[in-house]
Amino acid sequence: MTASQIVFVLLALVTLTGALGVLLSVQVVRSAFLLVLAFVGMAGLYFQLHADFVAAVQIMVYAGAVTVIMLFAVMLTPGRADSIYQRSQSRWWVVGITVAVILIALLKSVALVPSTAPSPAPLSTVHPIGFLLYRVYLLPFETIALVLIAALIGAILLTKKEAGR
Amino acid sequence: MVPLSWYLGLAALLFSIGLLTVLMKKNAVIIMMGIELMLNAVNLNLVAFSLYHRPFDFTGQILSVFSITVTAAESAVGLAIILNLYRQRKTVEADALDLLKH
Repeated sequence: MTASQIVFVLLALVTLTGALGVLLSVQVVRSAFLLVLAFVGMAGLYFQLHADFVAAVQIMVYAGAVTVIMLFAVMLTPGRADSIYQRSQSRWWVVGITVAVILIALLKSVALVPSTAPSPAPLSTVHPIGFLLYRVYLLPFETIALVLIAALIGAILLTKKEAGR
Repeated sequence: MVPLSWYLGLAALLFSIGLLTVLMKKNAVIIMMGIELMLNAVNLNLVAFSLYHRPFDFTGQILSVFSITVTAAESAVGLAIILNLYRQRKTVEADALDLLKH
């Protein structure tokens, strides 16, 4: 194993630990914090893939903003214990078999992918991404800004207490 | 170097864990976390393919940045809906939200 493969295995273990913790933990708050672990592991994988801009965005948006939103949701709703072990047996099996079939199909198709060696990667991705965003993909960029504004106003309107009630 | 199939396999595992979370948890907040995990797995695929097949064409990375932005908007609106739901029905359990059944 080369050094980069060892780094990949470590980051993958961190990410899978976080994701499995979200699934298996009983307390809702613990799920939220383990989600941060999964997000940070993913950011490390992006760094390894030479996608430093995406990694920075991942840490800022996912590990920062989305997690804070999740923690707000956890704080404002009753954090009752939510265990997957109490499910009725029949539904457990149906869900497990379905997901196992999907996973096996995914892994089979992954095995078909030819293992090409990556070409030498560019040193910095921030400059070309910024250039592409403001030149080639300007219209999607402005559209996504509109989507964010709409989501912001929609979220405020949804959570506002109606006056007079 | 790390083979491309390792990244794709890890993304498949993450997607399955997210799908299991969505299908097996009752709390609506944790169901949203499962959706985030699935979207993250797709982003990992996008970035990995972007490096291994088109290293100097950043379309895959830009698509993943757009996907992260849409996810942020989705979780903000999702939180608002969950809070409203809790205010009206006093529960966030997905099983208890069967208003249309009765």
